[in-house]
Amino acid sequence: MIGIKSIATFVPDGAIDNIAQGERFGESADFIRNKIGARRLARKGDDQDTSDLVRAAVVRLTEQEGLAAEDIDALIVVTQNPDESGLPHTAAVAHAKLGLGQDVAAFDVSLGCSGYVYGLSILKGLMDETGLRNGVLVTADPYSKVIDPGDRVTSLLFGDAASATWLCEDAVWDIGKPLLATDGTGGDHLMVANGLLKMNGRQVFNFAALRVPPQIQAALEREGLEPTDVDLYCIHQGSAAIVDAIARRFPVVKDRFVLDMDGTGNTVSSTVPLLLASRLNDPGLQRILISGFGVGLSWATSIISKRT
Amino acid sequence: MLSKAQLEELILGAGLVVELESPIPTDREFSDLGLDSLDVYNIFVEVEVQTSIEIPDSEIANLNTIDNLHAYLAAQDS
Repeated sequence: MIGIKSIATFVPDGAIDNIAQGERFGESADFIRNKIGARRLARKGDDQDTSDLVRAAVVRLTEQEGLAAEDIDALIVVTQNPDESGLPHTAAVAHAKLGLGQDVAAFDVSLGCSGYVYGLSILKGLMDETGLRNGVLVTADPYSKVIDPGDRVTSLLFGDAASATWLCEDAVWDIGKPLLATDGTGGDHLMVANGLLKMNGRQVFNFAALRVPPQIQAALEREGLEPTDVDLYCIHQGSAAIVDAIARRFPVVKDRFVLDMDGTGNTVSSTVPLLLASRLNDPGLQRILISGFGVGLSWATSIISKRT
Repeated sequence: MLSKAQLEELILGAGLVVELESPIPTDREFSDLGLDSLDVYNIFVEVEVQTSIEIPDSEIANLNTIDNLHAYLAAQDS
């Protein structure tokens, strides 16, 4: 069965001091630390495009995890901030930069913060259907390309990063069936207009706090699990306040909800794999719930389990 | 219908970082109590969970004290 073998990440060296930025917007250091949850927002260089982040993450995967580039036969890129206007698709641009062979399926998936959970199932399903053996799911959605530096709501939140997840038969983690949901009527709460990101912070907060917990609960119930049966809850790092608002609905396991975005910010579809990358090898973990939610509005939850 | 005491209890359970005096002065603006915008979002979420009353964005600026919030919820409930 196709599952997750390993994950590599790429966080650009550039960064914004978010405490200093907060001061410019009249926000205290406590607010940045406790509510936003990120004292540093990672930023790609001006000379780096989305495909460069993709390339960097995939190169890390090949160098660190032992996946030979010539063995890659599927490359999916989750992004809504592609190179140029998205034509050609960023997966194809990255395919060229990586020097991959022609027998490679490569395409983009247009999703935001729910994209990693969706992407795992899309790639797994593709590989199951076609017999492809080594698939790579990349998340790379640099919001710095669309952030209005004068907008307090979005400027304090988002960082740039990328991840590359290796899926194959000889895997360590099984991917559970996801619960997937959409509410397109809320699409204007988080959107790009005239080239700039606009967010209704209150509505996005409401959406996350009210819609995501029931989906997490449903995912647990579908697998016949109690909240305590899951070792770790790696949910999208929208902000510290959002993670806390969701975790509060699960008081018995509140401490198992990971908050770890201090050095990166909200990196959109990359937040969940960034959490997983440093934790998949923890021998104490057998079951991890992952959940992504955001632009769309779109939300998705699944449970990954270590093979015995 | 939530009483003011229940509303106060709900606010104290809304994951606020700041320590509020008890009882919370019901006529003081949330910002004067040390609450930020995300604290207020949290309070409105708790209100919606408890009462199923959705508070539209257009009302947020007016619902800046416990008294005002209580009056608004009472009007929605009547």
